[in-house]
Amino acid sequence: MITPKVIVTVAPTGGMASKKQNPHLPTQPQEIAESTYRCCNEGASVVAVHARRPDEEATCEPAVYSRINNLIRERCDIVINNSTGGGVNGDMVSTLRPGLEEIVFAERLKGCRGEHCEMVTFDCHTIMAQFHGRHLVMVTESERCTQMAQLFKDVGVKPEWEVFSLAHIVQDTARLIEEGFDRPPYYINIVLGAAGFQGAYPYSPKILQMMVDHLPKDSIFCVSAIGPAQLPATTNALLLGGHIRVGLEDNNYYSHGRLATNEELVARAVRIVRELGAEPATPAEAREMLNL
Amino acid sequence: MADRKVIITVAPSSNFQGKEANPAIPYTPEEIAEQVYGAWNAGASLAHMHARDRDGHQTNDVNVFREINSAVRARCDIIIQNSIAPALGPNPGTAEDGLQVLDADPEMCSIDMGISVVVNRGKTVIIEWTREFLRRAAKMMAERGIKPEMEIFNDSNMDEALMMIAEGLFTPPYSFSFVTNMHKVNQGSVAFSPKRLMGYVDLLPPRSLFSTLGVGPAQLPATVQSILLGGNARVGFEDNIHFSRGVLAQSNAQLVERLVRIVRDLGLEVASPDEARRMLGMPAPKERSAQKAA
Repeated sequence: MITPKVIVTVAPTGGMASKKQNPHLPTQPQEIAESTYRCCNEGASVVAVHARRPDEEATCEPAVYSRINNLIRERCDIVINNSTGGGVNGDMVSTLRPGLEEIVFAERLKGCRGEHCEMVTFDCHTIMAQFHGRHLVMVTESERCTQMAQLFKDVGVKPEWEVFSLAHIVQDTARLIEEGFDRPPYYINIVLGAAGFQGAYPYSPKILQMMVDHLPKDSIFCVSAIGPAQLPATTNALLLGGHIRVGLEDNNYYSHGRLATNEELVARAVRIVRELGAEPATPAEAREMLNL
Repeated sequence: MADRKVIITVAPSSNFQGKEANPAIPYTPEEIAEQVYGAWNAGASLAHMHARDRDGHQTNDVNVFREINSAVRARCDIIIQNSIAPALGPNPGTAEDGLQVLDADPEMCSIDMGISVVVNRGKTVIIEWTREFLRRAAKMMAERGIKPEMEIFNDSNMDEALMMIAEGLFTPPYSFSFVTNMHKVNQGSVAFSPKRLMGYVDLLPPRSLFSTLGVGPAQLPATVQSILLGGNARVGFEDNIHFSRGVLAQSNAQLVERLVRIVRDLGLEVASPDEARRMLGMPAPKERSAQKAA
């Protein structure tokens, strides 16, 4: 059943989308802060930030995160989540051999060091991204997973466990939770429909149900879904008692062929939350629910 | 979710609760027709109806059903579906009594796919929807050109439906209605959960359409989950008298309006009655009259 207070996360930027695809995409600190503020006013209580360099390419540079986070914090009290996945260009990639690039582990680790960072995305699994003829591997073998978990614990940021498949839930996420690297409630972000990632699941009601059935005890979950799956998957998440993420990081379109803005996607998600008899959590309520 | 149209059914009247529970529940043919018309304006394309007599008691009287169906048709082109459930008034009827309605010229009738044990006014009523009865009812519907909608209350009802389909007693496309969360008043019914609904959907034969209803607070989640699973949805006073917790719904239209808003927010559209007829493999009303005359 739907939870009475729903945490609506906005992911305004992401590490892959570009202004060429959608001119509404905020990429610079000021733009990201303003878009986030508008989304907060529409009912978002968490922002999942990706940082970009002035040339729009991806970075996890703490100075850039600090600048974005400070500009957000000047405007509103939304919970700030910074990405430790970064993106698929800029500071984040190096070439392993012709035709194969790598997301640089050392750069990812920097993502937890921005000022005002309260949560970080934690991809404790290895992903092969394949798109536009490129192949990028994000190698996070189990030792690296443990290293990241320890770092986040030491820095004092809460992990958002990002999972694209059932294996991601039952392998390293479950292990690290078991080993005590996070405090309950564990916040699991189920990402579906990332077709460019080998091993990532598409959205279907049954796949989502199965993943929810396998969550570690004392978890709460959020659902993010890519492209046209965003709307049905997030609505389905509400019916299963979950929280939701929307935004241009995951989905560029409001409807078929019509480019979206972040605040439009948040406003629609909040409308559906209210139609279903629930309310969006305020940032303060979200902090309490997440035990931040 | 590919582009598709959603059929919204309104079930405006009830075999259980009455005006004592929500004074807006319609009783007379005129009241029922007015509420169906409001629901049709809001986007409903199918009306599933029960009847009450002049004293406000549930009835299986074919003449009352005729009045209801005529009053509805005088106002709009919504698909007319009648319930074959025995009237659960002070003197509950039998399964057999429920079949009178087949002669009230409905386009569709519900057919409940197994014995039901309901609690009516504190007393247990066993509705003998036996295997023999169901087969006879299906044949009677086929003879009259009435499209059956199979009501599924539990897994064993689903098996009965599949057996009867295998026996050739129903014509595709098959229309299923998943009745959920009726367990408090109907022994053998199951509570709503998304997983149970997915279990039913997995068992559907090819060329099936399904709609889901949820009793009480399950109405909203069950109908939205149904739409996400590629199905249709039913709302109305028969299943739920509240708009939100502790707040009575003012009309059937109000419940339909909310569901239509959600359907549209999900990027989908509702089917018109004629679109719904085509999806269900049913003739247009004019064509149907011509067939009957011939």
